[in-house]
Amino acid sequence: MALAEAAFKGQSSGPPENVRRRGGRLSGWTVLALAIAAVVSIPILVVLASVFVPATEVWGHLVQTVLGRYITNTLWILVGVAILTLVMGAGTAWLVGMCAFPGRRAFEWALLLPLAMPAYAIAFTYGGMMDFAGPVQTALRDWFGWGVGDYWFPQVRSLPGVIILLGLVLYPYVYLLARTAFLEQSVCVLEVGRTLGQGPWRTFRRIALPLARPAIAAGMALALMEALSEFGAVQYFAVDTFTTGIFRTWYGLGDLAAAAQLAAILMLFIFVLLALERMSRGRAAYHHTTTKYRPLPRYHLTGWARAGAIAACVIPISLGFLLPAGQLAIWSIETAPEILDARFAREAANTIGISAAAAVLAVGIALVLAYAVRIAPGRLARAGARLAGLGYAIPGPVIAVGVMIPFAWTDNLVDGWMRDTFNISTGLVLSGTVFALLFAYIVRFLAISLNTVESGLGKVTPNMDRAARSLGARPGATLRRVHAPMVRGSLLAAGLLVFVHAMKELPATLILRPFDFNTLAVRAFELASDERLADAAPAALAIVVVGLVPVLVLSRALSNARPGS
Amino acid sequence: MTGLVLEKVSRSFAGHAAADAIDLTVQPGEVVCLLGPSGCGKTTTLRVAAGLESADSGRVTIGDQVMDDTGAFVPPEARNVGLVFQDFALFPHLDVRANVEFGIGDQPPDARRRVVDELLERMNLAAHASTFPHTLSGGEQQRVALARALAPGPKVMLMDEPFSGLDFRLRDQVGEETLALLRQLGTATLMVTHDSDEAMRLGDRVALMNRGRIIQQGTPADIYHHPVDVFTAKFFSEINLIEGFVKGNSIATEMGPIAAPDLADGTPVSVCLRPESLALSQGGDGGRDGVAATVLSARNMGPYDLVWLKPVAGVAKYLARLGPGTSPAPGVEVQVAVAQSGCFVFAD
Repeated sequence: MALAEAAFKGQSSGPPENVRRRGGRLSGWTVLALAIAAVVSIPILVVLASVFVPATEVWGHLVQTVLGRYITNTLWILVGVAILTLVMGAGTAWLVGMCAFPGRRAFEWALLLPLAMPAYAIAFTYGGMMDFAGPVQTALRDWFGWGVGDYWFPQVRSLPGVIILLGLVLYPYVYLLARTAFLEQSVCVLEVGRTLGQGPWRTFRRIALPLARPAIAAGMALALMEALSEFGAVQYFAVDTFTTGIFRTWYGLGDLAAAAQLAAILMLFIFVLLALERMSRGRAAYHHTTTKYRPLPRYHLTGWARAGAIAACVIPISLGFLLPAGQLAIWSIETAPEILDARFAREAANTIGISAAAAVLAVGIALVLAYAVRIAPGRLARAGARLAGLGYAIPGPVIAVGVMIPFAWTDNLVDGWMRDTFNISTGLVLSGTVFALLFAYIVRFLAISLNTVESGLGKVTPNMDRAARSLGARPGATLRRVHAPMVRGSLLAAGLLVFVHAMKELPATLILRPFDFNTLAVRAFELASDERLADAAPAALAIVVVGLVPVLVLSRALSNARPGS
Repeated sequence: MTGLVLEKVSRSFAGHAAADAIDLTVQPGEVVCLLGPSGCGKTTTLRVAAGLESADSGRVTIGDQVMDDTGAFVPPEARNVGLVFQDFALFPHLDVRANVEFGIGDQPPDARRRVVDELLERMNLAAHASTFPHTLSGGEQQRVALARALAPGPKVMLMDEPFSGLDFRLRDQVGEETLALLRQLGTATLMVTHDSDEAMRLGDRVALMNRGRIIQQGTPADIYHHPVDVFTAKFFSEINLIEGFVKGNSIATEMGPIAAPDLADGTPVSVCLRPESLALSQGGDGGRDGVAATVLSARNMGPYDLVWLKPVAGVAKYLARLGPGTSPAPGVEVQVAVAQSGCFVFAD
């Protein structure tokens, strides 16, 4: 009883008050949140519902021929990327977080750089560099005087190649969360470990690492979700996975239902991944039990340990960013005069326009959702926000299929009705328009803006809401006068993140874009697919450069992430 | 003209009555402390008064206006109440002046400036007008919170543990200054606290709550000297609790007979003895002077001594509170007499 009361008291935390009239009708904010959630979850529901559509001939064909390969390839990618990101991400996080060695401060932010490198860009860059005619093999032949067929060279256009390249661009997710986790650990907890007779290494193994485990697991879950969603890299290397399968079933075989069924299986993988992540948190609560922080004493590395630490940081940064970015720059210098024409400018404008529109809409919607959860707390609003944020877990091709089906259905319905009634054909109103693409971006990236906006709103304590209300400000005015100015920075950050993600997005754009509507990502991918790698470089480089902005913002925020200092 | 009136106000959450038929009146210029253990419903009551929660039943009136009644609910922004929180909840993106100005944005700039200047002057904050809250000390933040709540000229001030965020050395002084100002302005003040010392020191009246109900209301002295039940007696000091039965208008206890003139024979009772009601004497003859007891331990607490005793013929331990430096040494046998003024008998 006392607990129930305490839960509702919300003296210093907890949701702010409901402003319902007596009788308890649903507040407008809750209704709005639910409406948004309903619309945004349509694609996911469509894909899930496709499981119940009777299987077509194409589906039977897929099961017999390629489904097994999709599953084994996807599993190998998951296992390989999990190991690589764990080793590179958590390892480097611990080195720069807890040790002292030359260059540590630079590595701290440089380790994030590969985040700016889209997987499809790194794939075709390495594809070109490691080819028979590429610079690496040519140099080897020149140095050693080898001829054709004299030597063995690893084939980068292969499953292991995909795994390594994905590991190189995805490890920063683990690094980012693990590093924060290490730094947030209270020095007190670590010192208690020391006073209880544990040496520094045992303290790391028995206290620091277990405490960081939920963060590492969360980072790996993010990285693996990205790996499952990856389309460009696997398509370019011709490694068959679900994403390429969905694309081919829809584009090549024209069977939307079978594509949706493939998508449903892919979502099963995602749900298992999310469940595993949830489970890995276990029953122990990983809240910090003390709020005392002091600068952590770092372990000073010397000799071989120091050299090893430097190498461990330099290798992922170079392979994941410096080398491919350098190659892109070299190619761009060669081809820029030709490629940077009116068409390129139009594609850049398309990219910026649609990404900016997606960013503004996603942030606006996220603000409404997050505010609804605050002002009208309750299972409904919360469930709405949760549902609306689900899109991030859903791979681009899946969302594209989920958008395509209902939009095409609506278009056909409208067209048929208009034809019957007015004898006018309206054609495609929704599908095949920028609107469909924009909708897909919002479904996919709403979670990013929602998280950022929610954490920003978290700075506004419930008592500030109450104070504003008691001082005569209605909910709308409270949002405008208290929340908006306090969360402005978070809103900008959220918009920036959505912008960059939308700009990089490839598979959904390929499927949903209107005829003759190209973005830089699509252009780069199409040129690369035609093996015009150098021509693809300027567009890819532009994406990388813009993608660097949030990485730099992130790294700056990171350097003062330690609480209490 | 009344300040704040709650009549039979109830509010429950998930079937649990957080506030149950609360009747409470705060007159203009009066400070009422709503006292109780955590989870007793005092904050819920405050929030219903503020309009942050609506009542399930009952009526809330401020001034002469009904704020919450069946079919009518005035939202918090239209109630003209001031709120002060334990964490102050200052707006971190606004400087001190803008914080204080927040609630009077609809007034013309001149009037606004005048009100804010006067409040800042009065609260000794004039020098901090353009600084941001996070640079202020706790006491200063508390004053800004109060100035912000006072700026719209509320008829009612609602404070939720307003002083418990402050360093204990500041607490008494800030509390007394704050409430003196509110009395002077004629504001009806309802202050929630869990600290009985604070309630007794600051409140004109105290309303003690437990499990969603108001157990007793009255002046601090009233409640302290005439508690209505064991809970109330216990809430204001440590007590010695004895269970027993009435026999011949008296209860036989290890501390001697306790008078119970109005209770029938055989009634089970709880006897509460405040520590200061036990008087110790040495070298007496037993009998009428009290009960023989052995001193177990004695400790000086600064302004008073605390002594643990065990009656020679008893098993329980009893706590006595004596003047500083007057306690006998451990092991000494003493005579204990009970003063009726600090002794309460409640039928179970």
